[in-house]
Amino acid sequence: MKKLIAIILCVWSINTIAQEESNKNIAETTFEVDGVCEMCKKRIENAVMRAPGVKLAEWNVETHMLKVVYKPSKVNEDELHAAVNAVGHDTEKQKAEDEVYEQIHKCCHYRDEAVIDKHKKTGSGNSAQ
Amino acid sequence: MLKKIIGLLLLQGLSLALWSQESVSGVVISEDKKGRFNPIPYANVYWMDSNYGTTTDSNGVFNLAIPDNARFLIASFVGYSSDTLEVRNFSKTLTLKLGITVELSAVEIEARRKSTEMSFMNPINSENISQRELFKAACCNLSESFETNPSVDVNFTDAISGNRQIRMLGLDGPYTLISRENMPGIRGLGNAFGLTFIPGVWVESIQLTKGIGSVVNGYESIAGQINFELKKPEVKEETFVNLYANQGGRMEVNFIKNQKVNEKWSTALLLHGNMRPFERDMNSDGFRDFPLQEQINVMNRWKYDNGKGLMAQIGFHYVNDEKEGGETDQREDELSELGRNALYRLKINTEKAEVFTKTGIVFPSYKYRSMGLQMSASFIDQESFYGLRDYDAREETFYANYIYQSIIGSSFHKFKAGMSFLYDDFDERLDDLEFNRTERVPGAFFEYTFEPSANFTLVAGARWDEHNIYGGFFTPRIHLRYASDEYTVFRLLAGSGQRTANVIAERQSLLASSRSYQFLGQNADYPFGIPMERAWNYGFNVLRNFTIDYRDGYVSLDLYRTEFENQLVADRDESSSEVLFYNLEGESYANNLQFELSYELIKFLEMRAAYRFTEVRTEYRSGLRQKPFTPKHRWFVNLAYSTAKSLKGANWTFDLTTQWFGEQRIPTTANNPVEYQRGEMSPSFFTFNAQVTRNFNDRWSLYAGMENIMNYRQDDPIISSENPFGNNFDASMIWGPIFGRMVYGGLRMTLGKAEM
Repeated sequence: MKKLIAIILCVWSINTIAQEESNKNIAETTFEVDGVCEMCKKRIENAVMRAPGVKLAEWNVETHMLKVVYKPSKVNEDELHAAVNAVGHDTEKQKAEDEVYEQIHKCCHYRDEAVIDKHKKTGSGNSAQ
Repeated sequence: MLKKIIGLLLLQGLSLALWSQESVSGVVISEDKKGRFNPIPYANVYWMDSNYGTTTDSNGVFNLAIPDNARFLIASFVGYSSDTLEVRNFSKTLTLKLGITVELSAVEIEARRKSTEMSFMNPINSENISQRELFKAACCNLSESFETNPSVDVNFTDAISGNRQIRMLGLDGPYTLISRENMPGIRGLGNAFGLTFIPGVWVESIQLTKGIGSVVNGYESIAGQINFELKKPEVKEETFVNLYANQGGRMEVNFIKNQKVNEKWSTALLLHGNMRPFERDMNSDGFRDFPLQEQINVMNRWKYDNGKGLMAQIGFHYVNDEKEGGETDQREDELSELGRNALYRLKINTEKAEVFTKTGIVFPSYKYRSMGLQMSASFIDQESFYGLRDYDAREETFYANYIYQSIIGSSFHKFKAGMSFLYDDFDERLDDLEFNRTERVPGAFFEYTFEPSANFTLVAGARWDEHNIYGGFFTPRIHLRYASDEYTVFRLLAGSGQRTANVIAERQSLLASSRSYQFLGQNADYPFGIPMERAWNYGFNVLRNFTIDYRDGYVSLDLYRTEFENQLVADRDESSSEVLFYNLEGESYANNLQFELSYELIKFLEMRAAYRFTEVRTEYRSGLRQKPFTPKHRWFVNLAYSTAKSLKGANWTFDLTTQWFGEQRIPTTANNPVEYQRGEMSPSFFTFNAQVTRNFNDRWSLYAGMENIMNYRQDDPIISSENPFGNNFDASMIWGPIFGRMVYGGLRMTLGKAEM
């Protein structure tokens, strides 16, 4: 019983120290990745997360910016771009191969003006009231 | 000691309550093709560049705290393009409009979401078990859907019928209200085998609530509520096929077809068949480990939505289930050696039919106002024998529930009010004894929800029911939720529940013994001389989400206490040759502590670990004792890992569950001859289950698994198995697995997913 309480209190206090652990071994980068929708977001984030050493991947549908937190000792920026390309998305440095791009879902075809328009029309942009 | 912890936690909660926060509220909507605005429930709403976020409620409404740097508010929802709004006036009610992305219906989005989620916003302590979690244990029906869940126990009731029962908070299944889409799902006679009438693959998700639930769903829940949602016709048009087979000889086929008929109508056809044509006797005791069985199960439902606020559905469910267990065919040749001329057999034939309807009206101009009417009519018919004992029962039920919900002044004050009616006709016959009862219970309820901010919710409900046999009774219930910060939530609950005990039907495993039945109920006005069971339930829960090294997890602590005022006691401790049924003559309570830790240990390896302490004590004739076959201590660890998905959706998933069960008390066998005596306590034991799934693409996958990998078995589970017609025979003394290691496999296939 006492052990259990000790465990509970330990875990309780973890949260406060957790995020302070960020040290020199961890780097953060942000670069542009092309895409149009929430589905693209999942695809891009999942692909980057699967790369070794990546801690966090967050892509913003509005700004097209991908934020990655990673260990430089395990993965470098070029590899991050490659990981994005591998699932059919272009980055600011490197375009995805056409064959791969063709495999992603039709509604995610971000190189197609018609698709972009469709997302714009039904999408955001009614901000600021 | 416990009191100290609670005090400490409450103190922490209170100290944080002192700083209050301003909040902003609004609604998330989307415009459909015809230009109508529909609210989007469960959409995400969050401040840009901050940790502050929430989800909208079922009406698309949200209420969110305002952090210092608040400026841009973002709303997003899977399948919609998100909206960003610059907020200048924080006191104004905001409207966020989501866009519909093209070809939404054909798209499945793979979110990095946990397969089981603890609710943060819900004032009632509940967890949502998604289909991904249900796939972790592939077999077979609702009774087995909880294999990977630490809050629900699943136990075999006896060594012959193959039946399993669930338990919550250490209390037997009937104390948990089981509902299908918030209508009565499994109750009354259905409590005996009803769980096996809901095939696992029909189930879309399960919401698990500990302790008393909402008064809207009736007065019956005491230990908890399990609500299961079936695959919905309107969500996705698809055809789904599932095949399954296991080493125990069980084979299953499932077929589901969801179809959109036109703009307004959609329909779902769900079919299930299973059979076990071969007998198995792994422990060589001359008895089939599982009965031979056959089941046909059909459900069809139609949904209507006119897009202007009227929704309706009608459906039916039919099940025919036949089981034949007992001694093996092989024993027939040995009968002369055993000195008898008949085999001990068990046969249970059950037929169930139900028709149900639901009608709902929402008022487009009053976004909080809606009303609904649910009705269902059903019968269950069971014909059975257990050796020389005959048991037949038939239950006819009609249920209606009308719910009106609206707000008082502002959305801070919501309420639900309504009326219900239950008609229940129960006729049963045990050998020459007949028991009949007809219940008619009109009732009315009112539930008030006070939600002044996203951090605090109070739900206070009460209902009055006027029972034709047991008189009128009052059921008050209260739930409190307080989030002290965006990671931590505290919940408190208190309230009562009551139910009519189905004395024989709920304890059918006892029929698989030579025990004589002694009905000692005193009150001549009541069936079996026993009043309605009534209990008070108190609960405390704290949940804390955390992120360590960018990976999420949570810790949670539950404390529950259930105290019975009236309870049907089935006393097996006077003698091994009888079972006494009487109303509680002293105290009876269940104390529960559960500690849970969930974390993504390394990337994509998710762990869920739990420890539970359960003390269920009842005043038997022989004194206050722990309930039989209920371990005081239980550990649970589940590990799940998935590999990267290819562009086509191919990957592997692995799942491992291990559990440790502490000692369990065994009812007395002291008056048996020495060779038929058992210890007072069972040994503690481990079980391990594992499963591997290969997803080839989004449409089909193969899975294989092994249950009880260590091949742990309760030795000699049937007392006096060589002489089942003798005085010492008892197949109901079960504390552990009967069947050893078991291999199973199957496939899941989605065909012709049409683009809508």
